[in-house]
Amino acid sequence: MSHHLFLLSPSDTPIYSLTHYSTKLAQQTSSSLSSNLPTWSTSAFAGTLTALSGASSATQSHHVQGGGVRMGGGQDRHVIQMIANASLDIIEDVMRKESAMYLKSVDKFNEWTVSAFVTPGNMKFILLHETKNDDGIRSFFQDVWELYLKTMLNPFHTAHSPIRSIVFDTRVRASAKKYL
Amino acid sequence: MARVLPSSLTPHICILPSQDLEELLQSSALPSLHHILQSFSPLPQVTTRTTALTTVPHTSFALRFSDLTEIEAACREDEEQRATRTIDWIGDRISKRCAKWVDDFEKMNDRDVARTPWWDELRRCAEGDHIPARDEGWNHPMSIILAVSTTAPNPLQAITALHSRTLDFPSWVDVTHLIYTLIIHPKNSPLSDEEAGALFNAVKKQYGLHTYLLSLELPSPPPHPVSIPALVPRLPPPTISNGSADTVRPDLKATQTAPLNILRMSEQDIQQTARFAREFVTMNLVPWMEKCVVEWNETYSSSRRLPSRLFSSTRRLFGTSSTTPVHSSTPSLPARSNTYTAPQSSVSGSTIPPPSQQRRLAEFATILGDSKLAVAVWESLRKEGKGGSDILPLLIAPSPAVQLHVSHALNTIHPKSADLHSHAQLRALLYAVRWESTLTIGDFLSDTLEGERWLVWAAGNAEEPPAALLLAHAALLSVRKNARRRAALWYFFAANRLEKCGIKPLTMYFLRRARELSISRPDKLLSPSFWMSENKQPSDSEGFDAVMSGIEHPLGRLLYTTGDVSGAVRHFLGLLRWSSASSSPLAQLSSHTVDITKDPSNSDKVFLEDFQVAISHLKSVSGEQARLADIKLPLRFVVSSQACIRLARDSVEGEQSEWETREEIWSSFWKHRGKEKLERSGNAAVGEAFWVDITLHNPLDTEVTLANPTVIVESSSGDAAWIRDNITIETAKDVILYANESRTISIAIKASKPASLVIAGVAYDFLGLLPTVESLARRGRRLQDTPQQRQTITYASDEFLKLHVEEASQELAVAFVDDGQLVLAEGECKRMKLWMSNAGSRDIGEVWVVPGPEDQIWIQPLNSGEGLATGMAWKTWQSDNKIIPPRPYSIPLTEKLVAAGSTEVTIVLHAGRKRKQDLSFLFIYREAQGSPFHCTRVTRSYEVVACLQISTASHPSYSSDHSFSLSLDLTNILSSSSVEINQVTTISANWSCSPLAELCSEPLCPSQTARVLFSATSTGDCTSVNAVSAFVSRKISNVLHGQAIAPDDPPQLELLCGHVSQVQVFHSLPKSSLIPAPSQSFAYEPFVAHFIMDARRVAVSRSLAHSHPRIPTSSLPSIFPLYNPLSVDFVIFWKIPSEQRSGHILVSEITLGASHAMLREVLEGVESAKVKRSMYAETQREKVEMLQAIRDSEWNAEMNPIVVIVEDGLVIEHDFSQGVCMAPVKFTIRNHSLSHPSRFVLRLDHSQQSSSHHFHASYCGRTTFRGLLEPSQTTSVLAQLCATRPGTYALSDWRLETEVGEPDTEGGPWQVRHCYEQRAATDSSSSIVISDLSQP
Repeated sequence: MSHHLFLLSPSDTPIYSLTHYSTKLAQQTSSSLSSNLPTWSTSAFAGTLTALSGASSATQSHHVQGGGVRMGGGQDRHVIQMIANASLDIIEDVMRKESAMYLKSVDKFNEWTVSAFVTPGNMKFILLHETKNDDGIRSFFQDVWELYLKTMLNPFHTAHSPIRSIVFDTRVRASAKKYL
Repeated sequence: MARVLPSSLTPHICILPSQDLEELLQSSALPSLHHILQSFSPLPQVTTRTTALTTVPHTSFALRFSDLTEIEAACREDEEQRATRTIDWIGDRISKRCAKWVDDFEKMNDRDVARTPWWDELRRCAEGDHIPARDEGWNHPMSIILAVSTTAPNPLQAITALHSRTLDFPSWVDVTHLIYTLIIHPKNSPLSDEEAGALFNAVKKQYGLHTYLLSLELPSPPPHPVSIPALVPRLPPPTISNGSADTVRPDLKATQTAPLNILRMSEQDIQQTARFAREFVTMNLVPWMEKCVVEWNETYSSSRRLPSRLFSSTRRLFGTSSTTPVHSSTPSLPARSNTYTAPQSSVSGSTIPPPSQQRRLAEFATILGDSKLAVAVWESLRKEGKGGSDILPLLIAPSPAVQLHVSHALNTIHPKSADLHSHAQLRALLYAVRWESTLTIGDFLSDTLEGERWLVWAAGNAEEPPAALLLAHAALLSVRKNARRRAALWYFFAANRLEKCGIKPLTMYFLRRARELSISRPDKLLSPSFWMSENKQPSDSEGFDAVMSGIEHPLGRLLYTTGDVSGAVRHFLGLLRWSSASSSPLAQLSSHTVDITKDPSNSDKVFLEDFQVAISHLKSVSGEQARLADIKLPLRFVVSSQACIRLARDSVEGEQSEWETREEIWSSFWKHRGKEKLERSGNAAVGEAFWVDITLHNPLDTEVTLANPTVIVESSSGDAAWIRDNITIETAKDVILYANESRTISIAIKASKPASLVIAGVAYDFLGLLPTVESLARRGRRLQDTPQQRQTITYASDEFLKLHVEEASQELAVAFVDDGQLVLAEGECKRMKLWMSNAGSRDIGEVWVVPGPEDQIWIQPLNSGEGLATGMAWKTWQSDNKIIPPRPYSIPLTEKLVAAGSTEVTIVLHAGRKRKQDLSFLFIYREAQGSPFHCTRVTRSYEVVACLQISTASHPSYSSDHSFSLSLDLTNILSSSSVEINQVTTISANWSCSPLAELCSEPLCPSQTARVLFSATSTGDCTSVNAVSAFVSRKISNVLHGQAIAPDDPPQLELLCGHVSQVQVFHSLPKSSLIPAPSQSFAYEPFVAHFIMDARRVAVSRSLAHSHPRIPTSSLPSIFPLYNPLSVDFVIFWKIPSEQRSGHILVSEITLGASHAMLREVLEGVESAKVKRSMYAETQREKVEMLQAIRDSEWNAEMNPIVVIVEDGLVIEHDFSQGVCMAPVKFTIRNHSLSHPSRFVLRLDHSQQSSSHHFHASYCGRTTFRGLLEPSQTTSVLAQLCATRPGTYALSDWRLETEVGEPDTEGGPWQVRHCYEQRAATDSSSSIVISDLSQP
């Protein structure tokens, strides 16, 4: 079961991302759904390309990972990012209607539920998760917010600079481990 | 007014034509009857009545007609199989036509508003489903029209045959339908109109009133075709191989393929038929339906009535086992077939019941527009879990409940965990289509309903074309709702699914839409100040990097497979923009952390491979390069800021900064002398190669090859052809850059004519395939000149690397004659010869050499020959006391250095500090006065080793004839050679030093030490001291107050020299003669005086720069003088005969005499000044540091100037038998200050605890002595020591209090400047011995 966290600046520039694999057991098995997530099949024309390039298609290998610990469906980075990106539309809508910072589950795409947290400074924290865990996510967001504020105390940190602080990263991971 | 229902919810009428009718229609070039009737289908203005007898007007009342046999056949087909076939059929239809659709659609302007043809097609296909289904009654035939014509041999018999035909429906098909008889009476019928009327009456009598006689003209040449609305496409029946393919009608196929639907009927026939259709609906069908609804409603409401429900529940409670037929969902057939019960063949033993009566009631009520009843019945059905959720959204007002109905409806058909069956997919599609087409677009897209999501839910996980089109339509609707990012995602999902079905044109269209939507960023409601504070433009913001690559990569691949290779090449190349090299923060983040989500298919390697394949293919196909011209690489490999030009002469080793220092020395030197410029050394010569160093950085995380890298050169002197002819540009080897690697390559250029070149760019073949040119332009500086420029960021125009190639007309070649390894002893003066030759074509008339700031050199004048040593001994030396900044030396030339001429110059180097270093000379030369300077460089390394270890010491003298004693210890630290000390010279402004003994004549053997002693006496003239002090304190005050430092010179100094030379062999000389005779004087080399001053300059500059790091080095010379008047320098002249080395070492460590915190007033003034707060803590810190450095400097030294000397070691003999001994003890008190008077109080007491074992001296008589000492004055006091017994008495029991007064207070009050108290040193062993004479 995986979680994907994105921190977005007020202009929707992502400044931090985290992929967290929870060790907690998923309440439901939703493996079948994930298999239907877009993993771009190159089969239609892989033959031509492969024949021309002489390279074996590496794209097929990553969705053969059956059994064992499933690392969360929809491993494709671009699909995850697209979902996070698409959820911004609804987040902006909800933001206007609700005054709370924690917006709970704002949207659902396939098996991914999108939870969001909007700071008073209009920073958006987006979390893609597969199971319902409202309280954990709320605490997690609070933690991330606090850590983010501490990072922003750095006068050289602007709203657009990517967060590369190792301390921030470690603490967010620790918090994710605790709550998610 | 009733809602217009989607056509799939309209009454389904089946027609069973007789054989003769079919023949008749064929002969009249007409399609089959159900097709004819279908074209009359939406009837305008039909009125129905509800159960409450209110009339409901229908603006259009649609019917569906189909062939009974066809339906019967279709019912036999497995539902799942048919669903699969339907989906394939839809996919097939769409894939056949989408290319044209996409082409047409792309040309439209308002693509987001228009209806998409594929959605219309999908909807029509879904709506066209007319086969009865098991779980709903909509498609179950509502009426069966038995149609015959009067052309039959026996029409009545034909009618009877049709009536007696057994319906071949499975058991689950509802048989509640209206049987209707239609007699078509054509004009050319064998029956006359009367006969036809008789037949009609007979039929009416036999089969009831549901009969109609339709008289048609059917003219024999078919009339002009009339166009009719397109028929809803219907799933063609399966092609069965066992011969029963007769059901496939040719006309069916014809209508499918015909672009326009036409009907060749005369106007009169059309009116007749329309009248029939209207009569059929209003007179027969609707009343029949109303009757059914009323009857069923009775049953329904009776079952809902309280008693009945109560009874049924009591019965259930009390276990009565009687079943109520009213409650049964499968009522007995006779009760329902109130009009007609067709004999039904039980095809199979299946006992699947037809749809329940309650459901049929709901459906009928829905069709009749009795929405109140319909909603109630559907609700109750829904509560019982028998469907209804799918229809309710169409009937009830928009509310959040609608969304729940929708999701429930979809959840019941979508199995949660399994793959979606075709049947379920089709059902979901049908629901979605019904919802979409029935609800108004405003309601559908409203925030309460969010209908576009329903389509996505309906699409589920299916990967068939319908699901993809559902998603695409959801995306289209999202765009209308201005949710563009979500739309992009759904378009992408749609494309992804569609691609698997191989419908490429539409896939590409969807991907293009997704791309367009992703590129256009939504408007953000952000304050303009946000962007100002971030110093960014709103257009600068970067989104998710992988989104674009995720869309563009499949798009590129699709373009490649569809043959648009050059488009694919462009896309693959564009992908690199979103790759790891992207400027997106997220990509930057992921590049430095290991991102597990990083998809291998998404990495640069894959993009590059695809690009490589595509471009090689493009090249092999098109074969020409012109098409590649507009393909631009979105990346930069060249780091333009690090590109530089390297000339051949630059390759002389040595730090670049060292050479820059020398050039600065030259420019500051020449600034005051002339305006001639030093032509930068960055001018290449004709015919001489120079190199352009280019740093390449691979931003990708995969390996790339840059083939044939070379530079693009532009010249103001000529065009490209000229450059080609006259400038040779090398092409470097192919460069393979590994992931994120940086490498510098050098490209050689040689010009054969003078030119002014601009290095415009770098050209290479990306991967050896794509010729690319990258500019080497660097952004100009930020402009700050006008307010406008300061407010909005403006930069000067781009800068390029520029280079002048000139004729080598002026070129001086310089080389050391002896270029071997050079090891010098510290302080050694080494003569070196340099060979200068004119390598250019023009004369050289003036040559300068610029050494480093710490290099001490001397250029031998031309006429001095071999440097004769002069034997003069200086006594005094006039110094301007100025730290002269390092400057160039002019090299004297006997005559102009003509072309190819050469000369030799001797340079004497004085080895400075012990270390390994480079001797770097910058030679600057020119032809004559007025012409610009050129330069060349020469360097060699040398090592300096120490030969003597020198230590100095000074202490106040005990002797009264001089104030201080100086000692100089010299140790030979060489391992083997012995060192001769030829002479030691002291240099001081204020102290005249004289040697206390002559120098020993023997050479100093290894590890031996010699000591030379000097006495120092003040000249007594402290004007120079005061003048220099005043100068320094004024300057320091300026520095501390932050005022400008005037470049005025310090007061001049006259330096006194004292010498001690090696006494040769003149032992006969009286020892007392301390000053050596001139005849024995040491022979000075001509450069010694220069080197002594230079060494002092170097030493002073170095120590000042070290102790005052906060004062700029350039201003130090105008603050501090070269000599402190109180300092004493030693110059030790040495010689190592065995190695033929000689030299001198300057030691300037000693400062004699007392000084009295000369800068105290200045520092106090600064400290008491009003504190100006600085914004920056660092500035404050720097100020404090500077103040501290000045406080600790030698100019602010402060000490007790009074020295007490006790007469020591006296031995007094006294006869104690005669009483106590009174011994006189003499205390000599000397004021070492040259400027300040002091008052003193000497107290003799016992308080001092001496550590020695001597007796304490007890004094009698006067024990306190006061006095005033003028500068440099000495006085002595006599105390009486009272000894009661013989012994050794310690003379350390004294205490001296000193008050240093201000000078120049004659007549004025005594002003105390400093106070001190001193006692004898604890380890002082001064003593007096009193021996007793009485005890021999």
